[in-house]
Amino acid sequence: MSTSQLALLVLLLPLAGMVLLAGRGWRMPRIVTVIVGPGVVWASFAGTLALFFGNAHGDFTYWTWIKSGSFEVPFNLLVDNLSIFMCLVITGVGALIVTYSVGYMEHEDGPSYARFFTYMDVFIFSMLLLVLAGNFVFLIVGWAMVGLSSYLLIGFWYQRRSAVLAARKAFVMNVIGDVGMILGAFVLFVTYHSVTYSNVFAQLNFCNASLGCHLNAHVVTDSPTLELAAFFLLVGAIAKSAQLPLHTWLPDAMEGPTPVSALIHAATMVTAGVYLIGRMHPIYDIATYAHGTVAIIGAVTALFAATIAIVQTDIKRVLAYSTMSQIGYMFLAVGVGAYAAAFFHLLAHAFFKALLFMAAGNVIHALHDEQDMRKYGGLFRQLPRTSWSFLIGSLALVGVIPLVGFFSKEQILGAALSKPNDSLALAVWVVGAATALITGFYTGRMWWMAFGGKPSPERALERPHEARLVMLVPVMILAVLTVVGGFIQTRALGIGPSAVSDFLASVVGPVGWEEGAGVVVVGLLTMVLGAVLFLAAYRFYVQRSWKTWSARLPWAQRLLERKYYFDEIYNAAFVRPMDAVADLGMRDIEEPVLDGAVVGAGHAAVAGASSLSLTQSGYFRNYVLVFVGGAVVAAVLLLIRASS
Amino acid sequence: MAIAIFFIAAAMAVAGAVGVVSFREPIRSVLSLVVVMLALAILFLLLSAQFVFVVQIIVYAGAVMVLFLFVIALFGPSRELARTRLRFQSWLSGLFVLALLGLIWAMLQGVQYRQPDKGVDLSVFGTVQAIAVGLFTTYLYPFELTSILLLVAAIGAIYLSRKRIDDL
Amino acid sequence: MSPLLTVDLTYTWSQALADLSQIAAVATLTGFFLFAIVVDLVLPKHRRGGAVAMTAVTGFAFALATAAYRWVYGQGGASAYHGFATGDNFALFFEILFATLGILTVALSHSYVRKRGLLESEFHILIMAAVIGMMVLGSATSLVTVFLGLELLSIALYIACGFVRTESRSQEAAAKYLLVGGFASAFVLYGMALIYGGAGTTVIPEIAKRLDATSSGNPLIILGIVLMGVGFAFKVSAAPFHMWTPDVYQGAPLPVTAFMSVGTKAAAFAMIVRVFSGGLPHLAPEWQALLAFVAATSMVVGNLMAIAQTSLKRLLAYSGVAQAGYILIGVIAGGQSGLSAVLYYLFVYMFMNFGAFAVITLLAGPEGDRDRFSDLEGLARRNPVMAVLMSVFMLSLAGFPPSVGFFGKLFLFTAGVSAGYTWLVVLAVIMSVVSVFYYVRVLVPVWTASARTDRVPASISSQGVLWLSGVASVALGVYPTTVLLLGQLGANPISGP
Repeated sequence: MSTSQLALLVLLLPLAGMVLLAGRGWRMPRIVTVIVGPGVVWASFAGTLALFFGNAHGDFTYWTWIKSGSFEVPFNLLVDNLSIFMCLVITGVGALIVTYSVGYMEHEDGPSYARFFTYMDVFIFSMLLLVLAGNFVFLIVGWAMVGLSSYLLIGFWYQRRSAVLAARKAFVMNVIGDVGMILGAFVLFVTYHSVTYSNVFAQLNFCNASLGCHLNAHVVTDSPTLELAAFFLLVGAIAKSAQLPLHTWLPDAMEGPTPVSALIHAATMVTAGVYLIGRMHPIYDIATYAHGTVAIIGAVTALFAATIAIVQTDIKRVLAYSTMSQIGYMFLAVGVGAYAAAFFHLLAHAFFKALLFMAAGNVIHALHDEQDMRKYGGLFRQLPRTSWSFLIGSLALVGVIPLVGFFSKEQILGAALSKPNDSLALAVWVVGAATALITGFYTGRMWWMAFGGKPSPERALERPHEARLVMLVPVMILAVLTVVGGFIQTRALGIGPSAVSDFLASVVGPVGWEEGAGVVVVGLLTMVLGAVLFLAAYRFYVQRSWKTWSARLPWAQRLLERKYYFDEIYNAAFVRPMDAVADLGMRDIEEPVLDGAVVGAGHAAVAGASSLSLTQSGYFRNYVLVFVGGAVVAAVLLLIRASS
Repeated sequence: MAIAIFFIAAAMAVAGAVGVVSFREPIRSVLSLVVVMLALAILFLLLSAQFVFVVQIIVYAGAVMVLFLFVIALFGPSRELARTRLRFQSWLSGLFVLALLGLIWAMLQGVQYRQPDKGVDLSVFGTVQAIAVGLFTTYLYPFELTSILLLVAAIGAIYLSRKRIDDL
Repeated sequence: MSPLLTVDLTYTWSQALADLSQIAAVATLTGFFLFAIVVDLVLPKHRRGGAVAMTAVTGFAFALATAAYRWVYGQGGASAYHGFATGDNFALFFEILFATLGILTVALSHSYVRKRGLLESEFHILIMAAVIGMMVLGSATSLVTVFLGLELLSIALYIACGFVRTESRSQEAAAKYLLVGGFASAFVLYGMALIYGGAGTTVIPEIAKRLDATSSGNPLIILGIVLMGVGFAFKVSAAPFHMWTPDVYQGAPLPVTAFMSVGTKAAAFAMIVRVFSGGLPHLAPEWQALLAFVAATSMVVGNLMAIAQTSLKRLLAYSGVAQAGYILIGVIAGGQSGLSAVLYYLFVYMFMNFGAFAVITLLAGPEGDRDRFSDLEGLARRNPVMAVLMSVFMLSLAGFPPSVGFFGKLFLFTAGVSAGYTWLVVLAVIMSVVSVFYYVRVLVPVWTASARTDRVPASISSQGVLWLSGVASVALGVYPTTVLLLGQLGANPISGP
C-alpha cells in the first residue's frame, strides 16, 4: 500500500467506525460496539505506526474539489513528521482512552452506549483531519468538526441541565475561535491567492533545517497583513486551547463523562492550538508581535490557571485548570520559538494527563460518581493500583525527575531562560518558574486530600472496589509511559538523546540558540522547590498543623473561588445584553404577532366570519409600519448618495 | 384648463383613497372607492384614452362597485371595532408617511421628464380599434398572461368562497 | 366603417413559431395547466386528485425537458413578442429550476393533502399556476411581463396559503400575505412607472440603452429604483421588509411553505437580476447601495431572530431572511462571478431548504402541522433515514463543508470580496457562524434519545423527494463545478461572458 493510501486509511478508519455505529449501532449486540468503537482507533494507530516506521512524508492530493478560475481547493493530506507525531498522540492515547470507556460507560443503555462511541470516533476523525489537512479549508473543516463533536460529547448526558449549558458554552467559545480561523485563512487567501499550506508558505520567508532560510523580498514588507492573519489564527488557537480570555468553557466541560475529559483535555482538542501555531510557524516567525502575544498569553494563562486550581474541590476541575496551565506552558514555548520543546511537552502531557483523568475516573467510578475531593480521603490503601498510577501522574505534573513531565517542562523553561537578548523570554520564564512552584502545591493538595489521611466521614461507601481490568490496563500502560517516556529526550539535563526534537526538526527547525549549563541547575532547583511544596501540602491539608493560608487571606480565597470573576464579567458584558436584545425582540416583535394570531384565531372561532376580519384584529399594520420605515431609510440612503 | 381639471381629479382621487381607509362603515369605504374610480376615469380621459375612460366607468365604477355593495349589504352594515392598543404606532406611521412623502417630493425636484413621443396621432390614439390592434400585436403576450392571471384568480375565488369542502 | 388606423396585422406562422419557441417551457406548462382544469372537471370525484397530480408532474417534466432541450440544442435567446420575453440561458436556467421544484412539490404534497383531507386537484392546479408565474418572471424582458409574472405567482400563492379552510391560522396567513403583498406590488408598480417615465420604454434591454450613467442625476430614476427595490426586497423576504415571512410560513400548509420558501425567493431574485443587473447597469452604484443596506439588515435580523424561535417553520422563515441577505451579496457583486454564484446558490438552496421543509411536512398529522422542536424528538429512532437527511439539510444550510451550502456561500462571498464589498462579507461570515447555533439546535432533539417511538411514515413519493434533495445537497457539494458551470452559462445573458 502506498503512503498516500495509508494516510487516507488512517484518516478514514474512525469515520468508517462512526458510520457503522451511527447507522445501526443500537440494533446490534453490544459486543459489536465494544469491538468497533475502539477497534477502528487501534487500527488507525497501527496505520500511523506504519507511516512512522516507513519514514513517510509527502503532500498527497487526492482530488481537486473545486476549481473555479484561479480559485482551487484540492483535498490534500500533508504527511510530514509533525503530522505523524500528532497522529501518534491522537490515535495512541486516544485508543487507550476509548478502550477505557468500554468499562467506564458500561452502565449506559444500548443506544446511549453506541452513541457514545459514535461521538468518540467522530471526534478522533475530526482531530485527524485537523492535523493531516494540507490546506486551510480542510483545516477549518476539521477545526469546526472538533468543536461540534466536543459539543456533542460534553453534552452527552443531555438530561443534566448543567451538561447542556456547559456544552453550549464550549460551543460558543469554539465558534468565536472558528470565526477567527476563517478570517485568518481569508486574509491569507486574499494575500497569497492559495489555500494550500505549501503554496502559502512557499511565498513566505521560510526557514527550514534542510533548506535553510530563503527570503522572499515582498513578504518582509508585507508583515502587517501577516500580523493580522496571525492574530486571527491566534484567536482560533486560544479558543480551542482554552487560553485566556476564551478559557471559561474548559472547566465547565468537566460535565462530560470522564473519558471525554481525558480525550479532550489530554490527548487532543486543547492541544490543537499548539499544533496550529507550530504548523503556522513560518507565519509567526515573521509576525513578531503576534508571536510575542502567544508567549504572553501562554505564560499568563499558566499562572492564572494554576492559582485557581489551588482552591478547587472538584477533582476533575483541578485537573481541568492544571490542563489550562500546562497548555499555557506549550503556548509559552511556541511563543518564544521553542517549537520542539512545546511538542515534547504536548506528548508528555498527553501521557500524564490522560493518566490522571483516567485514574480519577476510576476513583469517581468506584465512589458512585462523587467528584468532591473533600469527600474522599484515605483512598491510598483501598485502591492501591489506581493510587499508584495517580501518584505517578501527579509527580509527572509537578515535574519530578525522572518522570516525563520533568524533562519536557524543564526543557521549555530552559529554552526560555537561555534565549539570548530576549527580555520577553526572560519575563515569561519568571512566570513559568513561579507557576511550576504553584503546580507543586496544588498537585500536592489534590493528592493528599483525595488519597492521603483518613477516609472522609461523608464518603458514599466504606470500601470502594478497584476498577475492572479494562479500565485499569490503559491506566497502567500510561503510567509506564509516563515513567519511561522522558528518556527519549533528556535534553533538559544537557546530555542524552533528543528524539522528539530531532524528529520534528525537519518541520519546525531546531531551537535557534544554545542552552547554557547554568540552566540545568536552575531547572533542578525549580524541581526541588516544586517537590517541597508538594510535600508541604501534606502539612496543610492532612495534618492541618499549619493554619491554612485561606483563613488568613479570605479575599484571595474568594477571588480564586470565583475564578477571577471571569464568568461574571462575561455574563454582564455579553450574555445579559444579548439576552436583553433577544427578550426585546421576543416581547416587542414576536409576541404581539403571536398574540395577534392567537387572538385572531379566537375571534374567528367565535364569529366564524370572513377571514378578513382576522387581519383587522391582528397586527398586519405592524408589518406595513416597518415596511414603510424601511422604505424611508432606503430613500434617505440613496438621497444622501445622490446629493454627496 | 387641462391642468386645472387634472388637479381637481387628482385631489378627488387622493381624497377618495383616504376615505376608503379611514371610514369605519364599510359602505362609506365602498362609496369612496367609487369616487376614486371616477376621478381616475377623468384622468384617463385627459390622456386621450377614451376607451379606457368608458371601461373604467362601466366596469369598475359600475359593475364591480355594485358587486361590492351587494356583498356588504348581505353581510350587514357592521362597524369595524376600534383598537386603541397601538396608539403610538399611529403616530409613528403618520411620521413615516410624512417622511416618505417628503422624500418623494424632495426627489421630484429638478426631475427631468421625458418629452412626449413625436408623431402620435391623437385622432386614433385610445380608440377601440387602436387598443384592439395593440392587444393582438405588440401586447399579445402580456394580454394572454393576463387572461391566465384572471383564470387563476377565478379558481381561487371559487375555492375560497365554497362553504364546505364537499361542494363542487 | 373605414379603418381609422392602418396597421400591418400579418403574423406569419414562422414568426409565431419563433416567438413560441422562446417561451416553450411556459407555453408547455400552460397547456398542461389548462388540461388539468379540464381533467378536474370531467373525472369522477375520487379519481380527480391522482389524475391532476399526474398531469401536473407530466407537465413539469415536459417543461423541464423543453427547457433542457433548448439549453442543449437551442440557438440561444432571442427577443420574442416585441421584446416582452426571451428564452435565453438565464430564462432556461430558471425554468429548469422551477420545473424541478414543481415536481418536488407535487410529489411531497400528494400524501400530505390526502392525510389532511384537502382537495387535491385544486392544490396542484394552484401550484402549476404559481410555477407558470415564476417561469414568466424568469423569461421576462419587459417591466410589464415582470409585473404580470409577479402577480400570477403571488395570486396563486395567496390562495394556496389559505388552502386549509378549516384552520384559522392558514386563513390569516393568506389574508396577511395578500394585504402586505398588495402593498409591495404597489411599490413595485409605482417604481416601474417612474422608470418608464424616465426611459420611455418598458423593454429592459432598451432601458439599459437609454439610461446611461448621467441618469443617476435624475431623481425620477432614483426614486424608481428605491420603490422597486423595496418591493423586490419584500418578495425575497429581506429585512426590514420581511415581517410577513414568519407568519405566512407558519400559517400556510407545509408543502406550500416549502414551495414558496424556495420558489418565491428564486423568482424574485430572477426579477432583481433581470431588472437591476440587466436593465440598470449604469445605475449600479445606486441600487447596489440600496441592496447592500437590505442585505446587511437581513443577515443581522434573520440570524438573530432565528435564535429565539421555538417553531421550526418560523425558524426556517428567519433563516430564509438571512439567506436572502447572503444571496443579495452576489447580486451586488454582479459580473459573471457574482451572478453565477447567485444562480448556483438558488439552485442548491432549492434542495436543502425544500428538503428541510419536506422532513417537517412528513411529521404532520391529520389535525395539522407539527412544527415544534419537541416533534422532532427521537427522530433518529423513529425514522433514521429522515434523521440523517435532516442533519444533511441543516448542516448544509449552516454552510458546513462539503455540503452545497458551503460552496454557495463560498462563491457568493468570494464574488463579494473581489467586488470590493469586504465589509459586507465579513458581516456575512460572522452572521453565518452565528447561524450554526440554531441550525445545530434543530438537530439536538433529532439525535437525542426519547421516549417517543411512534414511527414517522413516508410515502414513496415523499421518500423520493427526501432522497433527491439529500443526495443533491451532498453530491453537488462534492462536485460543485458542474452546477457552477451551468450557473455561469445562465448568468452570461445578463453579465456577458
